[in-house]
Amino acid sequence: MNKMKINIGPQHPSTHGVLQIITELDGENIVNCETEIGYLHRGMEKLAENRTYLQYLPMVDRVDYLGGFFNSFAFCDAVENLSQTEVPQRAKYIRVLMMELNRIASHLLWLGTYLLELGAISPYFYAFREREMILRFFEKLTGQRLMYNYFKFGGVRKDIEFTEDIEEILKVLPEKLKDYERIIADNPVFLERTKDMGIITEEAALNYSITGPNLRATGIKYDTRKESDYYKDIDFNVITAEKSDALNRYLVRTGEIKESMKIISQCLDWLKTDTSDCISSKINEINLKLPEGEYISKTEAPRGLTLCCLVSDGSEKPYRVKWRTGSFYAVQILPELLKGHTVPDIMAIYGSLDVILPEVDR
Amino acid sequence: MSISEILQNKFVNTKIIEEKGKIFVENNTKEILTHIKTDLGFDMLLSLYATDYRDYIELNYYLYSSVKQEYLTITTHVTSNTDSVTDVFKSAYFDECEIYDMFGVNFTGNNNLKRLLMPADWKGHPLLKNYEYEKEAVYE
Repeated sequence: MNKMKINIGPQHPSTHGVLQIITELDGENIVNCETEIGYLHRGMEKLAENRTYLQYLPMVDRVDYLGGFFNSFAFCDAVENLSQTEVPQRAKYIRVLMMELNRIASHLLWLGTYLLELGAISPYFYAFREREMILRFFEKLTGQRLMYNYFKFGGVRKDIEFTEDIEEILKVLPEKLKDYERIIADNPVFLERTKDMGIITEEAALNYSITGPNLRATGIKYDTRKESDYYKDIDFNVITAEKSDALNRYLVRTGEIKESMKIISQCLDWLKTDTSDCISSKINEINLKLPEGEYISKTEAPRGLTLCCLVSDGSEKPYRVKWRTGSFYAVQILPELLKGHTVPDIMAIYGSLDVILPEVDR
Repeated sequence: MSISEILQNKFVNTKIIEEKGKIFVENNTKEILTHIKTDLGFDMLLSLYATDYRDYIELNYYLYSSVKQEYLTITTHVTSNTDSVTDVFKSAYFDECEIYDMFGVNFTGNNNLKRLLMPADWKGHPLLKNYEYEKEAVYE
């Protein structure tokens, strides 16, 4: 039997970053495969040790550039818990609102690029059109489209004074989602390419520590938002499916977009009735010194569970920061999923995991 | 009975202390984690991370139980060598490679330990507290 080795990447347009997949082929079938990461390593954890907390805060958006708010939140939450700072209720709702908008933007980008990888070009433009509405709003409020630096220790930097943009998004998006369903989920070619592709069993998902939509598609209802203090008065469902194949992962993500819209409208209603204008508690950001201790903050990011483990030794710089992200573990399960499939399925399976490489390498 | 007491009854010869929300175990981590996974139902190793305290390196195993919806941290102190837990949790492979890469801890039983994030010919282990960039990081 003649086996052939083929390198896919590191520079491949479908990998969303720089990932090398070394495949061993028998004809067109994948016999073995290995992943090589580290091309986007920026030393996020080492950089933290040489900076004060305030100096490090703008950098954490870059851990996952499609979910900047989630990383900011993870770090701020860890700092607030260590310093025992109270976050005002209004800031909490603003944070939840921004994170859920960010989740929709992130899932929409995934949807567009995934369909592009499967060969459908027009859904890419549709998804980006809707994502653009959200990014415009972010730009108007924070001044940035991707790296926001909007959360601060103890609250947020600016109050939301205009809600028309969000209401517009909430009005337009449900109709567009119906369009997507007509274009995508009813399309026999899409179904053929995603059904029973890259099945993650429940056991494998737990063993490989898969989180986020990839895990929930197996039927395990693990969503840290349900444990969080921030979401305790908000009514939403955790979307699950029976089997984690590429199609169900798509369905879980689109379902999550709808749930996020539910959360956003509840937050908006609350923010409108609320009369307080306190968006941040008083905290000395510049000379911030945390008491000795360790805290792990849990955030349900679009690509799985994000943990920020913060260790403080009492000085003005963090002693150790560790980022745990969902994609790091999703890359690890890839060889297992690809075995037995053919070369054209590589991107159909890899894309369905929604991996973002900056988050893997940090 | 708390988890640390259950573990202490099972592993009589190992020093097990519960402090600051973590369970410290002196050695035998692999056997203890196997027991925790199979008998106590903590089926996910969410994260394995290290911290350098100059005299020793602290390893933290952050576990989650999908059945009981509980979290648990097992912590241990190592200097340069410890047992690999990749047979118990497959997700530990990347974590162990990263800790080897960044802290220089060798995991016995992990057959494919490699530099995960740094270039393969990098000298030194960057996240150690005594690491000096100018001295040690030289490309060959």
